[in-house]
Order: sequence, then C-alpha cells, then structure tokens
Amino acid sequence: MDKRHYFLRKIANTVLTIVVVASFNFVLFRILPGDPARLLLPRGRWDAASITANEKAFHLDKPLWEQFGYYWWDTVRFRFGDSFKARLPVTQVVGERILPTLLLTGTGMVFAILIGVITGVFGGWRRGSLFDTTATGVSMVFYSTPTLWVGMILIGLFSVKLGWFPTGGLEEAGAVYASWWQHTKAILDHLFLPALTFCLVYIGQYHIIMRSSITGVIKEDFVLTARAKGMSNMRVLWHHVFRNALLPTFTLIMINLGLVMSGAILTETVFNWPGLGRLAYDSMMQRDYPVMQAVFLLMSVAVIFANLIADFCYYYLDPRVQA
Amino acid sequence: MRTRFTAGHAQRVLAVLALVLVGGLVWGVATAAADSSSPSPSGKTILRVGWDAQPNSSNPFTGNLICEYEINHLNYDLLVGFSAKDLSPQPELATSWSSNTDGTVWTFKIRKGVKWSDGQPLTAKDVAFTFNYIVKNNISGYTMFTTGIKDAVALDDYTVQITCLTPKANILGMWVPIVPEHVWSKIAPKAAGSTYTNNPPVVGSGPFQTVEFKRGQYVKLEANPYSWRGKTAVQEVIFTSYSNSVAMADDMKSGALDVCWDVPDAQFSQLQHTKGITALDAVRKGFEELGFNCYTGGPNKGNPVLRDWKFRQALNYAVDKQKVLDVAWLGHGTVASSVVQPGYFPASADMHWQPSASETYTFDLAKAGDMLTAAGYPLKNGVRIVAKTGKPIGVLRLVARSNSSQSQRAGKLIAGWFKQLGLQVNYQVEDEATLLAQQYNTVKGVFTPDYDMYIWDWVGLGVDPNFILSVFLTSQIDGWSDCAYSNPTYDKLYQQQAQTIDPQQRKAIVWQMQQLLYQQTPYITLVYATNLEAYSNKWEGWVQSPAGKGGVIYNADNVDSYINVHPAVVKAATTKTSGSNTGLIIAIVVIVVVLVIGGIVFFVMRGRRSVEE
Repeated sequence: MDKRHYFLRKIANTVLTIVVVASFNFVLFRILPGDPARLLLPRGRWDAASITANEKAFHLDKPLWEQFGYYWWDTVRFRFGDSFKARLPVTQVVGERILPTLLLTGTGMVFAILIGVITGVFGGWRRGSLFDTTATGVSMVFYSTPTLWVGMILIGLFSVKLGWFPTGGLEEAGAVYASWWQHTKAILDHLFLPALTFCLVYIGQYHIIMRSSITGVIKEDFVLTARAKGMSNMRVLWHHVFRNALLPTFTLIMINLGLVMSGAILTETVFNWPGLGRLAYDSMMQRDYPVMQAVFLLMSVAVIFANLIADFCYYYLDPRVQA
Repeated sequence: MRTRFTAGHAQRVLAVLALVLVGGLVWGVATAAADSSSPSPSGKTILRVGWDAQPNSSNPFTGNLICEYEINHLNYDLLVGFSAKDLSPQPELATSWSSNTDGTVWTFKIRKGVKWSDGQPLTAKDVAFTFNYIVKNNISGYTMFTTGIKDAVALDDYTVQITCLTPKANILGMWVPIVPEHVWSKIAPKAAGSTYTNNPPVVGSGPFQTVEFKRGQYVKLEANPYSWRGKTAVQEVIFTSYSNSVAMADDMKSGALDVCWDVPDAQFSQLQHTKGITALDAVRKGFEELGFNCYTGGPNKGNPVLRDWKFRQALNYAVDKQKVLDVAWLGHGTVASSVVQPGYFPASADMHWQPSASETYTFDLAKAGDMLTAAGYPLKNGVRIVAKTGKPIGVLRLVARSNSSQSQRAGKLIAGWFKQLGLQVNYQVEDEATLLAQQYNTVKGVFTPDYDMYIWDWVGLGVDPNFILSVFLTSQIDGWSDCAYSNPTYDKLYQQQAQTIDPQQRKAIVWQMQQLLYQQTPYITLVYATNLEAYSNKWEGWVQSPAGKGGVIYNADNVDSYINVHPAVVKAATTKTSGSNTGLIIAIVVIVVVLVIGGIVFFVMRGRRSVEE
C-alpha cells in the first residue's frame, strides 16, 4: 500500500474514533442517576434561585441535544468549564495531575517493559531452565497479586519497618526546597515505592508474551538456517529471533502506553499520589461532571493516539504491512 | 533497515543498560537515605496534621466541609467564639455585647488594635460589612446563622449594632467568619458565593493564614504576624490529606505527623499502645440515624406505610441500639436518644431532652410486632399486610453508604431485625451521591423522593440546636430535610423557640419538640459516635474541646489547640538517624549489583558456548 495512503487512512480512522468516543462520553454521564445541579451544594444549603442560577451556568436547563451542542463547541476550543467542586477551570484541575501520573505510570511501565522483555527473552531462549522457571514464577506471583496488597506490603516493609522511603504523597507536604535539584530528589524519593509497585505487577505481562513468542519463533525454519550458516547463538537470538518475536510484545507495549494516561487508581490511593486515577474516582463519587468528562476524554484520546503511533510503527517494523 | 547490530553489540548494550539501571538505583537510594528526613532546615516549628478529608477551596463562603471550616477558623475570627471548656460564648473579635429588652437589637464592642494579616486595621466596619454581605446577597453558606438579621451597622470604629426582625435566640452562636471589607468589597457577590477561589495568601485576622493550597495533597498555613492573640509557638501548620488511612496511622507512629483524625479502628488500637502517642476517643457533635421517607406533601415513590408515624414508632422497638453501638461502631460512642445531643454543650445551651425510663423505647421485637398490628399492619402467613387493603406492605429499601463501613454493619443488623417482624427489607449499599439523588429526586421538575430508609449522620456546626431542629421543618423539605417530615405543630414550636431569648423558656419549648420527634420518629437516632484521634506527646498544650471529652482538632468551633500547643519541654532525643542506614543500604545494593551483572554476563557466556536445539 502506498505510504501516504496508509498513514492518511490511519489518521482518518483515529479522528473518527475520537469523535465517536467523545460523543459517547457525553451521553454516558448524563445517564448517571443524580441531578448535578443539586450536588453542587451540600444537602439543602440552597434556595430555588441559586439552583436555577447554577443550572443556567452549566447549561443543565437546556434540552439534551442543546447541551450536546454546547459540549462539542466547548470541547474543540478546549473549554471544559469549571469543576463543580473546586470551582476552578477543569483544564487546571486535570492539568496539574498529568505530570504526576506520567511520572508514576511512565516510570513504572518503562521499567516493567525493560525487565519483563529481557527476562522474557532469556526465559524463552532457555525454556525450562532454572532461570526461566524462577523468572516466570516470580513474575506470575507479582502479576496475580492485587496491586493494593503489593503496595501495602512495600509500605509496611520499606516505609514503616526500615524507614527508607516515605509512606506516600508526591512530595513532603509544605516543604521548601533549597534548589530544584533537592526538589527533584524529594519527588524521586516519593516516587520509588509507587513506581516499584506499579512496575512489579506489570512485569508478568511482558515476560509471558515475550517468552511465548520467542519460543514460537525459535521453531521457525529460518532460525535453523541461521544456525546452519554458522551464526553464534547470541547473534541468532538478537538478530533474528528477537526482532521477529518482538511484534506481539510491541502490540502489548502500545496498548499499555495508552493506559499510562488512565493512571493507576489503586496505586495512587495506597500511596496518596495525586494522579489522574484518583481524580477520576473522586470526581465520579462527587458527580463532578466537567472533570469526569475531561478525564475520560483524555484517557480515551490517549489510548487512541497510542494506537495511531502503533500503526505508524508497524509500517516500519513489519514489512508485511507495506505489501 | 540494515544495521550492523551484532551479538557483541547486544551484550554490551545490555550490560551498560543494566549498569545504568542498577547504578541509578544505588545512587538514588543511597542519597535519599543519606539526606536528612526534613528537607526544610529552616528550623521552623511546624505542626503536621493528618486527615482523610480533602478541602475543596479557601473561600470561606463556599466551604461546607468540616475540614474547610476548621481551616477557615484559623484564617478568620468569629465575632463571638466558643470556649474550649464547654463551648459557651466567649469573646473573640467581640469583647462584650448587650441587647435591648426584647433581643432584637444587639450591640457588640469590637476588640481594639486588631490588624488583618496584610497590616490593615480591623474595625467594626469589617464586621458590619460581613453580615450585610451575607444577608443582602443571600450567600447560602451562612444564612442558617443569619436568619432574622435585618442589617448590621458600624456605630463607630469599635462598635457594631445588629438589628434583627424578630428576637434572635441564637445570635451568640453564629458561626460566621469575619472577612476584610477591603478585600471582599472588590469581589462580585455572585462570584463570592460560587466561583471565587480566594487564592493564598489569604487575608484574615485569625492566628494562621493559608499560604499554599495544593488540592488533594496539603494545605499550608503560616502564623499571622499581626495576630491579636500574640505570637504562637507554632509557626506553620500543614494539613495533609490522606487517601490511605493506614498510611496516615503509620506516619503518626513514625512521627511524621503530630496529630491525626479519623484513625481506622485497627490502627487506633495499635496507637493506643504506642509510646509517645495519646490516642483519644473524642466525643463529637452530631448523631447517627436511621431515617425514613415521611413525605406526604406530593408525589412520593417511597413505600406509603412509612408516612404513617404509628408504623415508624413501632419500629423503635425493633432496633437494639446498644448492639448497634457495639457491633457497628465498635463501642466508640454512646447510645442516642434525641436529635439534640446531651453533655456536649454548655449548660446554657444544653437543650437535650432525655426520655424517662417508662418513655424510653427498649429492644422488644414482640412489642414491636404488637404495635404494628395495633397500627393496622397485622401478620398474615408471616408477612405484614396493610389491614385496610389486605395487601402485603411490599418492599422497604434500606440503604447504607459505601464510604461508611459502620453504616453497613448497622444496616445489616437492622435489616435482620425488621425481617423478623415480617417486613420485606431490601438492604443495599449505595454511594452518597446516588442516595442524595434518590432523596432529592424530581420528576419533570416536581419533588418526588424515591427512597425508603437509610443510615446517615449529622455533624453540626456551632452549638445552638437551632440548626438541627430546623431539619424537620416543612419549609426544609427539598432543602436540609432528608426525611421530608412535616408537622404544623412542630413548625410553630420552632418559630417560637427561635425567638425566645430566655433560656429556661426556650428549653421548655425545645424539649417539647424533641418529645414530638421521639414519638413521631422521622429518625431513629442510633448512636452519638465518637471520633478516633491521636496526638503526639512531643507537643504540650493540646486543648480538648469541650474539656475532658472532646477532640483536640477537627472542632471548627474552637481552635485553641493550634494556638496553645508548643514543643514539649523535656524532649526525648530519640531522633532516628537515617544516616546510620546508609552503610547498610549501600552494602546491600552493591551485592545486588554484582549479582545482577554477574548473572547477565553468566547467561550471555553460556549462550555462546552451547547450542540450543
């Protein structure tokens, strides 16, 4: 397929998917039980005039299709309104959570990928060996353990018992740092345990996928040919087997990359990390519609874009796509 | 893509990657451990408070959570405060007060020499401005306290006169923060009550002002240099919001926190046995209740039997309050009888009515059954029917809240007892927003509540029972009332007591009202729950409010703890030197590094030698 044609088609697909998802987003939150106008204020602390004023401000008094129009008009202008609870622009409320989320899930994911892929490659290459059995066993144990539990155990061990790391939070509350370097170090100090938790529970995925595709590719004829040509084992592994076995793992990486933005609600709750996952949960409990809509839109778009990037990369990684 | 990526390259890349990874970990951990635990070596006296609450905003007019009131009472002062001893009125911004004979005109003398935190002087004009601002613009957060006020006038710089339309009984119990005119006169009133965020640094006259507000993380306050209370030992207060209460208890134990609130039960027992920490089972305002849908004024999707007060009254005998206290609240609290709490408020404001021994409802399922039958709901084949129609009563929904495990335990108990009476109870757990939506449900804009029974609580502000009594007014249906109860006699009594200045006369009326509620049962009050707090003995001067039984923080009515507390004179030098761990950490990590690199090299070497089939 012509390269430009391929890319254009993928981009068009992406745009269409985003439009559908965003529309669905709107409908979804209007179906939830509960009148948001009443939830703006505490139980009964209002009068009819205030309620109508609030309704007008949030277009809640208009018919649904009109609200939909307002929704789209505001979305394309990145105007997501004000959070009901915080009374701040949604872009601010969500924006201040993006970097902590990326820090946590990004770091955790990168390490999970590195460690999982490497152990998976060697596990698959030496299938049945002690290394393979141990690595698979350990990674499966962590994969099947609830994230909450892993987090609590790590806190109990490293924070409470040994005192090496703080119990949670993004940084020391109310601290003033001498330099940005001190500040960064403090954040890293706080990041270690949550990122480790996140990483541990995801290693298993990459390990298993990588391992199984390696064992599948080893059986291929071209591997035998390569060996017959006199190539060393390592060269066969990395030059032929690994590159062909990478595709399923790459797919998994791309899928999870999209999920990086969705945050890690459980990890964030255990470690009091101010991320998007917790924001999504809190806003849902409080029926903070503007924030909920923006967060879910963000998560959906992140996944869709990750898919787009994956499609682009496939074009180069897998020659069969070009045909 | 043709790259000369040989196996040798691969090995080297892997080895370098591994080194970088582990090296980074080593260095990171070592430096983190070697650093002192406090990154702010400013030597400031910082009070660290932990709670699971999340303040939404610094705006005193939009705050409606107790945590926000607490912070507001540190930023701002009230006109008349609440004493720590027994919450009786005490001078705060007002040094003295007097009224005319019928209690409609009150004159307050304002403290002299008070300055706002930005250095501007505080005068009676600010006080007058605050009350007029609220009354004229109907800023809903405080109208429950300002009802009946016509206006406020500054007679001179230090005298303010508040004129009321009718005698105002609760005028000394108004929980209204006094705000600076020179700041708030510039804010549009509509915005003040809704969108204005009042960003730090906040300008107030209270002992501390908010300087940093990190949503969902922490709020930092600094001591007011112009505070009329003088210099406090505490220079900074930091409130940290915890989403994980176990971590909060851990931080309390390790000393990272100085005081915390709402400790989980299991951790509370641990903290009770931890040296250097005092765990407090603190009495607090409010009660837990089983509420009913009593609405008779319009369309109602709830079960109609609940609208019959005789039906509700019979249910009183089917609730074992002692068991609910022991099992659901794990004994933390006392059994409740009335919506006005006993023994918490000063004698002058203690309007609790205690039913006599013969009046008190006991746990007696047989009696409950008999009363139901007498009220017209006999048993037929083990199921209660409505005698008039002969049809079964139908399903009664009982809702417990998802964020309160106590309400869930209580709900299961109550559902069990009611089922024994032959009632069909559908017990379910919902999140608060869903329950609220059902309580305030509307169909085509008409109030149509869609619920039956639920378990919730009321935690009050201020000490006057005026507010909690107002919940049962007809006028509060679709407002504060979550039981939609309506009784013209009750409404009349309420108006009477709100305007009765003489405490004895007022008490008599309030007692009458409680008796009425006890009989009519819009609520079955279950428990006066306590709150679990813990504070560090490294500090002295904690003030329990009310004395001997209340909590040291989270009172909002009285913030003396923050003002009074100071580091304990005899400081035990038990500072855990984190530096002593560094050697151990580095040693462990070096071993790990060697193992990992060795392992990788080993496997790579092995790969070269053998041939895998």
